[in-house]
Amino acid sequence: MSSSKLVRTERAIAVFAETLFSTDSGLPPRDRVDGVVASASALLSATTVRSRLMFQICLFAMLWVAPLFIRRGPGLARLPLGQRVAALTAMEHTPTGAAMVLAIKAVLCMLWYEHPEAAQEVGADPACVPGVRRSLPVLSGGVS
Amino acid sequence: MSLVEGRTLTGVAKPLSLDADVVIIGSGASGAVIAAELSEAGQKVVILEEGPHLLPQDLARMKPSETMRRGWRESGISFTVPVGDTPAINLMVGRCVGGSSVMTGGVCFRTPDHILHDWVKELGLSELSPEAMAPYFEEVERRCHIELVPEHMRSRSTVLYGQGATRLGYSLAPNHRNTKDCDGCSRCNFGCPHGAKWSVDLTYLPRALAAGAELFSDAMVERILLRGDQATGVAGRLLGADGKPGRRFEVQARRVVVACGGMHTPRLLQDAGIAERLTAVGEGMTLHPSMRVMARFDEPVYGWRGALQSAHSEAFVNERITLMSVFVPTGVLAATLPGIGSSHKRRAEMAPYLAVFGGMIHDDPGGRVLSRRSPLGLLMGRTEPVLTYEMSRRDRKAISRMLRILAETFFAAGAREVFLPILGGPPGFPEGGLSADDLARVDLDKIPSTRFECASQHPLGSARMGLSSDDAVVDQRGQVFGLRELFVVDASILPTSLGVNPQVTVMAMATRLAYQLRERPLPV
Repeated sequence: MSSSKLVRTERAIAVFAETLFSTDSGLPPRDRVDGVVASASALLSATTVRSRLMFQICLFAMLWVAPLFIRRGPGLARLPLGQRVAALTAMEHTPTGAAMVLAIKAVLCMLWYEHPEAAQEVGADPACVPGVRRSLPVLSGGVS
Repeated sequence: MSLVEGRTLTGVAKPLSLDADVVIIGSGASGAVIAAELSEAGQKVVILEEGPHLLPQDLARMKPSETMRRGWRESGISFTVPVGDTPAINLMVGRCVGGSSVMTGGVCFRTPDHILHDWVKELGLSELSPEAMAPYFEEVERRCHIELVPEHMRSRSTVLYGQGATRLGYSLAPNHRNTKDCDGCSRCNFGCPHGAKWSVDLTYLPRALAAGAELFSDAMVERILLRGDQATGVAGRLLGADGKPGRRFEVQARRVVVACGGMHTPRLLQDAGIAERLTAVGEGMTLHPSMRVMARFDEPVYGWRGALQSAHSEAFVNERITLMSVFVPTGVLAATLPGIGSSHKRRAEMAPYLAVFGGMIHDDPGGRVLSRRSPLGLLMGRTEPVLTYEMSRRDRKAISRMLRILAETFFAAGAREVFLPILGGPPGFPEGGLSADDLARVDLDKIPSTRFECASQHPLGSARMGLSSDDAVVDQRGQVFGLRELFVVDASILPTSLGVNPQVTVMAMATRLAYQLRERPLPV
């Protein structure tokens, strides 16, 4: 992905993440949004052009089309937060819009709730304590 | 013993050249079995794996999204192209040393007897009777430490579902899994962080390497080399740390074994020009389309505490439905509930109160791996293959039936509301949640299939086994019709879908083929 495309995509992801994870008290913490944007970029970089393109189509379609659902001009980022939420909510209530919203929401939610505080805020307490304790043979690298 | 990370060899211009008795493309459930058996029989084996090598301690350190990025094909976000009234199906398969066996829930089923009987009676595959296959199942079960999931490891989510099932007159049975000392932390799909799942990277591949096999990770095979009607090796590129193809390699081998799974095996065969003679290449794929229903209870459920997949029900097998316990990460739960902003937050706070149960369809062969030369393949499939899928009418009906069973069972267990996997919610219910009365009013058959959220981890049958090159790709010995020394051993040879998780079937079939291959003289 070219650097200008990457910047545009990252900006769009940030707008969506800010809206999706906003609360009654306003925008979500900036560092968490930045973390999600960075992780989403890394995830996309491991896919083929085809999958990236599908993701970007959904993302940009949402940014431009969602405001039309509340009779506002195109460009989600230009709207105040409350209208952004209303626009995406309205889009999510339509079958085609829901498919697009879910495509982006699934990736961003996965990343968002990996943050321990975000998980804790919704009552999730994954019981997994990683650590290898078993004695199976483990493959080791190196040229023989 | 040798495991070489291909990414460490990319800084050299000169192509890497290797020779072997047998080259195996893919290190997953089938390739690893073949590698172990043939290496121990004294054959010189080279295994080529496109994905990276991820140690259990790597998996323990990684967040799930990092595992998806590094160990799943396409970061787990690829979809089939739907044909007709069919959902787009999210495909999730492993791409690392050990393949999908590293990323499964560890569920192990023998091939159901009725399926094997069908293969014998209807397809004439006389060597695949339950009696003939039994020793291979036993061998795999012994090697992979297959055990029953004890009841105390069931999550509250599964226990609640089981209570509902009992009230409706059916029951759950415990799953078998290839685990030992499992903690039940529900992270199986992102690789076991404890090394408790006996995937082939921890079982068969160490055997193969101890017997002298060479395994190259980050090694993407691009083509099968043919001389006349004989396979003579493979060629490809090593992938750098950035995942980009770099240094070329070539392996000259006396025998070529293809084991790169239901999506990529047909692609390699198509690229070798084999599909022009064998029209079944890439055709008739099955996927076991799977879905899950979430239910909200008054009590906390904490569904992530316990074994990810501990129980199943075969009560509806006659309707081609297998029900299976499952859970999904909090983020995925939150994503599939409708809501943006504070309404999303309120829904996400329901996560501890949600139970989840799923099911899969024993589907008809509606999938197709498009050739790189087809118009859509040319447009969209230069790197990863394009899969189209057309769901049959009876499979579509089975989906409606399955969702209703899942939802009604949760209500019988005391759920307040259920969430069906329907994009935009069921008609008239954009907020998603349905009460029991609401459910009774929804006609699931009338909902366009494109609105269903559907996933698959089991691409099968895209280079199927049969008696004739007219409708199959390989014979009962796994040999590609009309070509010498080219064998296919993975999930793509299964003649039909199974209706159950395919890992043990794939490994048992590979064991059977490996025993035959080690007795078969190598060409001079």
